[in-house]
Amino acid sequence: MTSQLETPPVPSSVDEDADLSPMQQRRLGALRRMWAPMHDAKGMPKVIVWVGIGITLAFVLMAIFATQIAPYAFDQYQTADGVRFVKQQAPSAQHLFGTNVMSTDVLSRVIFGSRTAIEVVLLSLFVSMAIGLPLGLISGYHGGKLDRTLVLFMDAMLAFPSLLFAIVIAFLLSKTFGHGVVTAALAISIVYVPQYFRVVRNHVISIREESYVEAARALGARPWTIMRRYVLQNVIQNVPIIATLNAADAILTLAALGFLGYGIQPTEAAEWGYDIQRAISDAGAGIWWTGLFPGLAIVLLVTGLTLVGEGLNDVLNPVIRKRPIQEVELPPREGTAPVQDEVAAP
Amino acid sequence: MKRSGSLRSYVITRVLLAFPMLLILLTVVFLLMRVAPGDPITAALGGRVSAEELARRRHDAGYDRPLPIQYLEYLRGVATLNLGTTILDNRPMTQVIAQNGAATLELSFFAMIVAMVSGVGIGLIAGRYRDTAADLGGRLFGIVLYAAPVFFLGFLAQLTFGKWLDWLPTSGQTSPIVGATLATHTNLLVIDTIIDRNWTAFQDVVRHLIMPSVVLGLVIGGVFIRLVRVNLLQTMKGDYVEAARARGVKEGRVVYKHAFKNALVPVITIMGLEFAVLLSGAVLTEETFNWPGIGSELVRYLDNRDYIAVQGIIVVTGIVVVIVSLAIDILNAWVDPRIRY
Repeated sequence: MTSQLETPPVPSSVDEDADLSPMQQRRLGALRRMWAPMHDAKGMPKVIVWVGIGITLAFVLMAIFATQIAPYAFDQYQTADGVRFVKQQAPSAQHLFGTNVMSTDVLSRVIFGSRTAIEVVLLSLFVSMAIGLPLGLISGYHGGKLDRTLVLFMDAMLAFPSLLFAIVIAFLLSKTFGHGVVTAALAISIVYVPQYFRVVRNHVISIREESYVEAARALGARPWTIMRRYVLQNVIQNVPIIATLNAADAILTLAALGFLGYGIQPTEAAEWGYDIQRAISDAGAGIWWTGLFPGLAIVLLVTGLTLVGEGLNDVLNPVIRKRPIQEVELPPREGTAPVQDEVAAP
Repeated sequence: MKRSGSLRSYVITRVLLAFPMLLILLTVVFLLMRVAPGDPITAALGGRVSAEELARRRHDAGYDRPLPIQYLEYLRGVATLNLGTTILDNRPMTQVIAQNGAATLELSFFAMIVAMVSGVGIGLIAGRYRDTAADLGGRLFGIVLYAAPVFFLGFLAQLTFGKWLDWLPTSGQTSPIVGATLATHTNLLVIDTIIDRNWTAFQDVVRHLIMPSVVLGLVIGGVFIRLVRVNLLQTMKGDYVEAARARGVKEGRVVYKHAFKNALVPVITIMGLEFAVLLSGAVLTEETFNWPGIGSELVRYLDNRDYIAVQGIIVVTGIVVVIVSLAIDILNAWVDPRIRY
């Protein structure tokens, strides 16, 4: 009953941009439509998104200003005057997070590690989206044999343990691209292409049947126009959710590659997974600082990104979205006629 | 698209679809391994044996033949379960699979139990008490578990329960002495020790198993928490739940009797998807705890450029994944008639 009485939430900012040109308004429109549920979101989902954004931003800033923040370089194992750092030294004033088995400063490696992580994630997101999105669009829109073949292929890729693929691909690529950011990013992207493909394709298929697409087709719009204006515009709304969740996953994959020794080599850049691998043998000796700090960095950054993704999903996904139901004040009873009867009357 | 909704026709279609999927996987593995410069023999032994010896061994293994022939030979090998012998230590691949595969199976099995209990339990509580402290706590727990790499949790567990509390061993599948004296029947050590009624060894094996399987299980369980919670929330919005509420059924009973069961159906699907995650996690867990499973063998052979072994391990993993996803899909169709389109 209440749902019928509910008045739709009034968009609060409709009049604010009345003085903008229609063109500007339209451009704002797409963004605003993506942002509007965020604006309306209340309670936990909103908190979750903002906490996530805060954590992620902190890491991004750390990555950008790594050279300024970090006390030492990521591969520096001696002071400027050539005095070697003590190996596996407990946290001290000189080395806040201690030093590791390579005699490098753990704090500096954690800070520079964020730069590596973000570089790899951005590159791999870009590559996997650049491949997965168009393939999904075309496959979903055209259907037919091409679609069936691609789906079968991508499903096979998706079913396989992604890490095993990433290891083998990183191993093969390292011959051409070395053991740096590019190899790791490419190995990770290949793993995520099928995911983008699948999500985009399934979404396109459901949109393709919508009446506004049919209307556009009936009006004689070219397939390319329909795809770009009507299909892509809708599909793109889901991309932030997948992208943030995949970014979180990509960081874990990067760390896993590093842990297994097929990621970024310590001379190329600081990488958290590699550092934890070196720290595993420290655990038996009770040396905790070499593994704890890089590990915490991974947990924090992945948590931050996941919170953004989960929160966005809570806010944007209509299936689990909890719409704010406004309190309905029934008029006071007058006479004997029950209010409910009036409402229920056709 | 009109199809009969019988379970049998669904099973047949699904089994037939599994073959092209397998073929694609096998082809991708083959191509990947041939993209690598040189052939497997040269990669593994190049520089260590004379040129004539190398040529002879290449010829024996068939690497001087044209690619399509090699491809067909490879497919025939897979079909007859003849995956060759490793170059590094001359073990038949079947032996690698039987011994190290068993260790992985043991680890994964117990990890899955831990994952189910922790994940489904917490997920249901979080979904049931939505937007309460329990929900927030459960979700955060799930997210943090998801965010923690399995090897980092392993590191913390080794530090806490291995070093500081000194409760559990941190490395390997058995103590060296037990391992040397153990008779193997099934290669599954827990079962082997039970068969022999060797209780000291049984205790040792179980103690070694606890830390890796709990760590891996918790990480997998983290994913379950999120999915079970969302599933429960979606089910709670269902018409029949609303109807039950409208009939005046108590909230607790609505949740337990009407929503839970249906919220758990999709978990079966998720288990299928999680199986691949489980295998990836197993590789990392094995490396962390020195567990002699198939994942740590893969890394070892890859380190030594033994492409035959790498190819064999990936092919077998692929076959297992396809079979498991097939089994889960059929199970799913059996449980949920809507799937048999």
